[in-house]
Amino acid sequence: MVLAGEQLLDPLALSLGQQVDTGVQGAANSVERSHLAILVFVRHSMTMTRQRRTAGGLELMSLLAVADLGAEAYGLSVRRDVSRRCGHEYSVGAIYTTLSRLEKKGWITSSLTSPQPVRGGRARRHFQIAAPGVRALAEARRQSDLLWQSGQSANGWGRGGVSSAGEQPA
Amino acid sequence: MKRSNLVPVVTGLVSDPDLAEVILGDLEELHAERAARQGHPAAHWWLWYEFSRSVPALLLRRLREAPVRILLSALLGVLIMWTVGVLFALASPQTAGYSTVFYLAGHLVGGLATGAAIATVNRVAPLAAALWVIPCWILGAFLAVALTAVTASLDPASAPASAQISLAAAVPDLLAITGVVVGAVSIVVRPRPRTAY
Repeated sequence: MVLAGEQLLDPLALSLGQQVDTGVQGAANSVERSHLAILVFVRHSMTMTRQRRTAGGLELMSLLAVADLGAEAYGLSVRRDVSRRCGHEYSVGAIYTTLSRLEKKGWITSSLTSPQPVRGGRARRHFQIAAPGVRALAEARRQSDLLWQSGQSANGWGRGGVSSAGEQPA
Repeated sequence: MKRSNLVPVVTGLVSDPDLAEVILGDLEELHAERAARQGHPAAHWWLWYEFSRSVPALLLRRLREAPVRILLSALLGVLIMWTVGVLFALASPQTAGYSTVFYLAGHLVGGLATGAAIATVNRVAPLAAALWVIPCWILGAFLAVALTAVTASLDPASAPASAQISLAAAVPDLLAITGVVVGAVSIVVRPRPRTAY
């Protein structure tokens, strides 16, 4: 559906762009420019939606927690680990929603344990990281490294190089 | 609210019974930890607080699972609430005090009827479906205010002289929202008739 939309949008954007370039003057020109801007925005949003295969903030932290905890990864332990990492205590519902999303993407797998008395006779759901999840973590790390290597980041941001007055490091 | 009511409430919010069991197990484990540290009364209130923090995430999850069904249910709910409100307004006597009472009662009864009806109609995650009526109702209220402001700016002569935004104006909506929650929860936690085998 996204691809079909893009296929439709491309010739439309192209034709509107050509109309703008050929020098149509006045109000009509500005209307066409605004249409072009809307089309570009829609296309950008579609691209961003398609690129959501990379992990978001909470997804990445949960995935990292599952990878680190190994056999001990279940809802509460993941929640504690994520809370420790980011300093914010997420709700049980938010953690399970994220873990379900990761499972749907095939990045983690889950299995139910036997019922436990401390949980009122209910089972735990243990999570294990899968091969695509390991690849997603590696990709996230690669992207982060690239980000820090590019431009001003290489000059010392994030290495304690910023003075208390907020001056840029030399 | 009794701790035993947490089971039907959580089950009413998620479509997957296994997930509901796992969430309930986690909450139970957290409750046991907290009770050991701070005692049972504190752990009881903390359990409900912790559960209420989970509600928005679970509601969004349900919306992602079945967006069309949830939105249609919510629209049906708004329609029921609006119809009950109109019926109360029509039945209201024209005396000043009584009309206000009927107006407020219409919102409360409308909310109760809506919550109960939507929770009854939806078999999967009934509470989530009913609670989605609330954002739709709030959105509708904001749209109504915006529409009034636009109409007044276009035709100042037709604008009501005493039109102003106040907290008191939100009281009927708060009653309606309370009604939806109470109506839906009462349906979800009601004792089910036992099936004889």
